[in-house]
Amino acid sequence: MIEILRVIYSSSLLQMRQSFARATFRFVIVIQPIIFAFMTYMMYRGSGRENYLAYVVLGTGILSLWSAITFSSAGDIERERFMGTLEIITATPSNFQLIIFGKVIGNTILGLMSMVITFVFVAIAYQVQLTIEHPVIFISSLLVSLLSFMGISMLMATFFTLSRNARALMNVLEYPVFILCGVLFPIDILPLWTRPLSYILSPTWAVKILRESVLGIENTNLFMINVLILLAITGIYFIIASISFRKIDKQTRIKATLGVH
Amino acid sequence: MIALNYIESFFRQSILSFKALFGWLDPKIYLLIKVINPVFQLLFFVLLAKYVYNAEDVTPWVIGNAFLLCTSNAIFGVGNVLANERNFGTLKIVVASPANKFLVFVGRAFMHIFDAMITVMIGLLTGMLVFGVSFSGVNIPLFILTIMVSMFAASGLGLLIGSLGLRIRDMNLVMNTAAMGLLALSGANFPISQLPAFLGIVSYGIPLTRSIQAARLIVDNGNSQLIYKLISQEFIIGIIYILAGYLLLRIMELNARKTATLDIY
Repeated sequence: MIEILRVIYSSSLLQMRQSFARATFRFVIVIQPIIFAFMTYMMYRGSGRENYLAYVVLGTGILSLWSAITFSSAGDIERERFMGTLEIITATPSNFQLIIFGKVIGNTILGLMSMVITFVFVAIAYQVQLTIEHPVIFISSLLVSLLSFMGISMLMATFFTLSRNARALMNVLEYPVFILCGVLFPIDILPLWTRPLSYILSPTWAVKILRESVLGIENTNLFMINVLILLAITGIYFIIASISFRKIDKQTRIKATLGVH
Repeated sequence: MIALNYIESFFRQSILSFKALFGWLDPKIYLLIKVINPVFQLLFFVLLAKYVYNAEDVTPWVIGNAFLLCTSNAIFGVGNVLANERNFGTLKIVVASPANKFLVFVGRAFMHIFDAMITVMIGLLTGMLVFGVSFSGVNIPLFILTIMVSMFAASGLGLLIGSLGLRIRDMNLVMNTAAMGLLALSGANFPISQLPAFLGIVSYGIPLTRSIQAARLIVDNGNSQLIYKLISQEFIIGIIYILAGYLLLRIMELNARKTATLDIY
């Protein structure tokens, strides 16, 4: 157990150090959330919509978290491949899945920083206070959401291990998720046929429970059902990711194309 | 004869530089970056505006956000050419060659103006198909001229950023910030009048702000004098950025010659 934790700890620490050394990542963590918060605030301010702060602060926070995770988790494999270290971390006696999980944890912690930056920026720049109706439930919801984002990152990491077009693919992944998951506007405004796509993406549920815990829970039963759905989807993500990792391991041994780019 | 040689070399270089950048050998990447991503970016911002402003007619936001799609060419394409040149190891050859540096410099942006226009058209088409935006009765030649001038001005900004590429190690930070700056300050998603005073000034100092206004006026059959004024001002902004970029390039080049640091990064 200690051995497992040590692998995860070292991998996430290295990941955070490496990530923060990259200017692009600093942009995603620091500058992007501020500009997005500024834009959405300017748009919502004149809209006359009530409770818009929950959309601005939470929405841009989740948006930044998602960007940090996709940009890093998707690009990490390609970066390792580019550095020539992908074969080494795959072949090392430590489990490859654990190393990637450590990286994902590192990205999530940095993504969380980005969320905090958004909160602080809106609070200071616009002198507004965001009241959280249920602080304890909010923190619990945030933890569940983070777990879910980690699940989705693990899943993406497996997809991108095999794809040599990871960089282009990760750029394309941002906006569809922002649209389908109702991060800055409710999914009710989307056509009905998009609903199944929204529902299989865990950020949709994460956004729902986080927003409710900030604005106030109307129906406790419904809230709990949403949490359970989020947990179930997250579980499925982890299971598929684990199966994919095993498949990748087998495939790369047969084809010997892991480091080819 | 010499002039012809210049023109031929200009076009040859423009096309070569463009081909090298986007990796035409892989159409999949081109499709992802130039078609799919812009379509989703436009959908996201227009849907957001539709919800926030409770708007039935989303034409102004479709226009604004379609123009903003040019950043993949104007900022990320043009902005990276010199840094790429150094990565490929060809920068010193370009600098040392007797070719007209200004033409070489501007040539790097030339194809992007037209390619960016295609992306803007894709954005407008998405607006027509998804949100039912109509361009019937619009002065199409004037509208296309507006797009062309705005792409020219945005590529001018790209060239200025590109010159910084000789000095700055990680261009992604600069290019991303510039693209986000355009997104936030060009008035595509919320009125410029809402901006704090100093940001309002910045807004009128960057490309796209005026052309987005002009394009919206064209669709609304607005004051034609104002439209021409905005387009001319946009053109001048483009020229200023190109000249500033070229000047910066020469200064950087001069410094690099003195300190022999052209290829060091």
